[in-house]
Amino acid sequence: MSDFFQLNSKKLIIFAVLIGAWIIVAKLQIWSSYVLPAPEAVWKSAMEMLISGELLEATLVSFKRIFLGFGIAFIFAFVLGLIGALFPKLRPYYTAFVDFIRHIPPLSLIPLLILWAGIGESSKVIVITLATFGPMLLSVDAGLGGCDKKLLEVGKIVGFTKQELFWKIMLPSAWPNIFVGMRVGLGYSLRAIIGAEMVAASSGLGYMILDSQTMSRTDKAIVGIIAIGVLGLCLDWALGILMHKLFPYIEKV
Amino acid sequence: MKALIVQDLEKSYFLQENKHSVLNKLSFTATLGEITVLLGRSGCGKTTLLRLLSGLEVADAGTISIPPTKKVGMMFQEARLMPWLTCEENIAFGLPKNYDKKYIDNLIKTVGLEDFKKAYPTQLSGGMQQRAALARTLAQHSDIILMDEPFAALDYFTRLQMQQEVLRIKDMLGTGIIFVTHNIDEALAIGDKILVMDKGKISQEIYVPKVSDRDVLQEPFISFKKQILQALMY
Ligand SMILES: Nc1ncnc2c1ncn2[C@@H]1O[C@H](COP(=O)(O)OP(=O)(O)OP(=O)(O)O)[C@@H](O)[C@H]1O
Ligand SMILES: [Mg+2]
Repeated sequence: MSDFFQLNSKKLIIFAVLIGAWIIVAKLQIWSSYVLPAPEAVWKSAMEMLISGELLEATLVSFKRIFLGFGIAFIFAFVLGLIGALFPKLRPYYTAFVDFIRHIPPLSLIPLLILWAGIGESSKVIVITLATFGPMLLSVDAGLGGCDKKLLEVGKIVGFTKQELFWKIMLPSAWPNIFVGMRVGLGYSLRAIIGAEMVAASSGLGYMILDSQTMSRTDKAIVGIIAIGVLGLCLDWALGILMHKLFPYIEKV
Repeated sequence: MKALIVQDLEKSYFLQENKHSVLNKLSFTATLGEITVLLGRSGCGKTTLLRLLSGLEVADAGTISIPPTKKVGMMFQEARLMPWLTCEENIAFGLPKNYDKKYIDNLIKTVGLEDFKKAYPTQLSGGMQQRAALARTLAQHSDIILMDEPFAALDYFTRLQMQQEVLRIKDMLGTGIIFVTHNIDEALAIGDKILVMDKGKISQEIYVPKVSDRDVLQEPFISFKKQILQALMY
């Protein structure tokens, strides 16, 4: 198993140190409890929010949006990557446009998206899809385009057709790169969803954080931030497990 | 029966706009059921020649005739195993789904990898990877096999063992083998015909008499060795 999955004590040290420092600074009362609430206070509101179901609900709402947006982006990136690899002649028709889209910060689209798609779920999902699609396509492209020519020659020698070369050599050799792209894309998804929820939403973790600010509940905001981090870690972890199950060789490459 | 006939083959590459001729009107023939050894110094064009014969590259001029029903296989200078496949899957690479499992199992045994069937290429040593590549090539049932320094990564003893294996397969299946090496002893040990390559041409052709038990330390092999050394020493 790769280091990625081991929840060993070395990984926990940094968290312990941070929380320790936080406890000390809070005890010293350098800042008011509004600016920096004590860990106990944050813990207490986290428990309250868990029991009331508020935290879980906000997390689930955000998760659903990420799942949809990320999934759609992956399908688009994968299909376009496949098209580009199978029909390289078509690439010039879309690469410039994709690069153009890729450089637009997704949050800048929110005003237009609200206008066109309303403040419902679809505008958030579209923001995530747009934020995730570009970086993920880059990885799919790098994976399929970066296939070792020497391996392709082995396929030619055993008499593979173009289709066989693709399915039996290009695609399998691209999976590690595609996997990296998915993990990077996941990071983009999380960033985009929180932004979108802060601007135009009445639910989700981003909204929860913004709402805590207006209610002067810094402790709740911190709970929200931690929840995002934990959600991201869990999703990354789940993705890692899935890929290792599907492609056991990746950890051995 | 002739496995292939090569006539006046020419190939050059361009290096920074300078034409660099690698093969220069090279001709030879190879026979089925025989091992034709190509011997030459590093950079003399052996790999280039095999790439032309296998169809991976196209010659500038000249002809290569291979009987149309004959299947050509190739073992590359590097192992070129698929990193995502196990040793066993690599050896059966490109075979139809209903391939003869027994035959593959036997091949795996003869190259001594039976304990590493489920290992991935990165878990194999360089020599083991090379042996897996040999098994993969033999699994293809080609009529003509091109081998590019197949045993360069092997120790002396394993190399001898693999040479015997190639000889056995050739005798059993009547395969025509073009075998590239720069090891003169190896050439003498397995070649039926030794072609010395120099300056883009075949500069010497040595026909090795068919003897059942070759002793490379006896005549006529000693004279052959001198002849080859003289041809390549300058
Ligand atoms: N793709 C290429 N582009 C340019 N030059 C090439 C290319 N391939 C081979 N050459 C040149 O052709 C010559 C012969 O190369 P080749 O690989 O056939 O040698 P070789 O006899 O197999 O050598 P070695 O024993 O070291 O493997 C070299 O001078 C090399 O620089
Ligand atoms: Mg070579």
